Amino acid sequence: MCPGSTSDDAARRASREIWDAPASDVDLFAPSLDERDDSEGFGTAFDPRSLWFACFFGGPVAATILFALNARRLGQPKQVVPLALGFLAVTFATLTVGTYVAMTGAGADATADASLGRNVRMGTRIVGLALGGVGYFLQRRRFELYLGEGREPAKALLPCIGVIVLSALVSLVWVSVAAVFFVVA
Amino acid sequence: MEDIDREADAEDLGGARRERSLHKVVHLLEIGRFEAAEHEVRALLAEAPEDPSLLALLARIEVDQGHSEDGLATALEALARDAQDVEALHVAADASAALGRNTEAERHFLEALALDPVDAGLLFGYANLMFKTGKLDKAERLAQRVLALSPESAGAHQLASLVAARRREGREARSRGQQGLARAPDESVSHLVQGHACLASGRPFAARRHLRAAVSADPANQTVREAFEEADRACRVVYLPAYYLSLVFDRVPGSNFILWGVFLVMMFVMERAGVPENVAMPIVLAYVGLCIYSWVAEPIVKLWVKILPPR
Repeated sequence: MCPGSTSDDAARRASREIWDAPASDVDLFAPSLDERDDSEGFGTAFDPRSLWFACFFGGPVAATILFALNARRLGQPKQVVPLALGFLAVTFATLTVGTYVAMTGAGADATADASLGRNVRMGTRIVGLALGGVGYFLQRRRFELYLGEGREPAKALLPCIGVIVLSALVSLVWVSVAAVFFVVA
Repeated sequence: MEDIDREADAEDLGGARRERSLHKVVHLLEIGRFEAAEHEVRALLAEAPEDPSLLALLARIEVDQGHSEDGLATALEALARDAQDVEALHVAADASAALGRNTEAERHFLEALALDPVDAGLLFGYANLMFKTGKLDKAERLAQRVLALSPESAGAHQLASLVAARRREGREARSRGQQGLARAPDESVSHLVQGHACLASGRPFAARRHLRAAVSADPANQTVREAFEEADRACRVVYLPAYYLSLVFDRVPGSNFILWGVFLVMMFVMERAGVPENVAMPIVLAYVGLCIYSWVAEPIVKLWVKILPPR
């Protein structure tokens, strides 16, 4: 290449542009990724949006099971325990408070009882939805990386139905235990 | 004196032979004969096992054949001999990215760019990594850098199109895709990207046209074939409304669940507001029909495509 040729000039201009870049462009050559951006450890993960939907029917117990399971499948084993513990704390608080409200609010009026029961169940579902929303936002970025690797999400319908049934049983057991506790206390 | 002359002649011959071998390797790679190219490079390495540039070339061939683990190991071996070999850093970055080790890939890219900041190939590779990991702003800015250095780079236009499509900027995605297509009209990837841009911006029929061209250009590519089938499904009458609905819901947080959520809210509000049953019932039935359609449209169109396959 002759000195002063067009391509040499272009390269020198580009080089000056890059190294004399304004402060806002300096971050272009600064590291942007951390271990959460590594695509290793993926299993066959569920779409967090599908799990969010299941949380409405399954409540906070379903949210805990589904998002803890999905954290492992998204290659985040360190997140499984903190997420499960956090969600479990909210779950059992919700079920306990719901049981207490239902028991203390119960009276002779059957219509008021039925309405109270409906409201308690709706409240539990709303908590489930809220936990599902938290799980979705925690796993959304990781799931986008999963899709970016060309992977397909796992079929969620049957697992979600199974978890919803399991959640109903777990909730029933916990509510019964809580009810017995409140009666004894 | 004669010994010195003989040594110099031997070196010249050896250098010429190496040059010929390297030209042969380049030619073999251009025609896709990777195994033969690898064989040639290994023969050269047998004579000069410590040569980092040969190791980097071997690593590149291994990565291009899909042997990313081997390619990474070879690239790291080259870097152990010359930590500032830009090509070895580039190959190490590509191999790490292929293995999902994105932080490691970024580190190699940044080290290489510190040594050669005007290498359009390096910038493009780094831009691709940023796109893959969801850093769209950075990917776009890097693509602009590539275009500043190499305005005729079809790949940079295609990447900018993909970024715009992911941001749901349909017009920009199609415009960029068109520029990529103008620069590489015979490449399958140009039609694939433009097809993707059209599909993401509400033009399923144009998308199908482009993806059909992509399949014609590269019939063995499974990714291209799947993209064509997706565009074809969107063009079927039974799925077309669901396709446009999905474009709307993709822009809304919660996506399809909003449809069901609105239904539940509507039921609740109508019950509380005391809406007469003869008014509420048709509304509810129509809305339930819409919800069910959004759920079953995809399985129905997949069955329909099996009966009437795409042409």
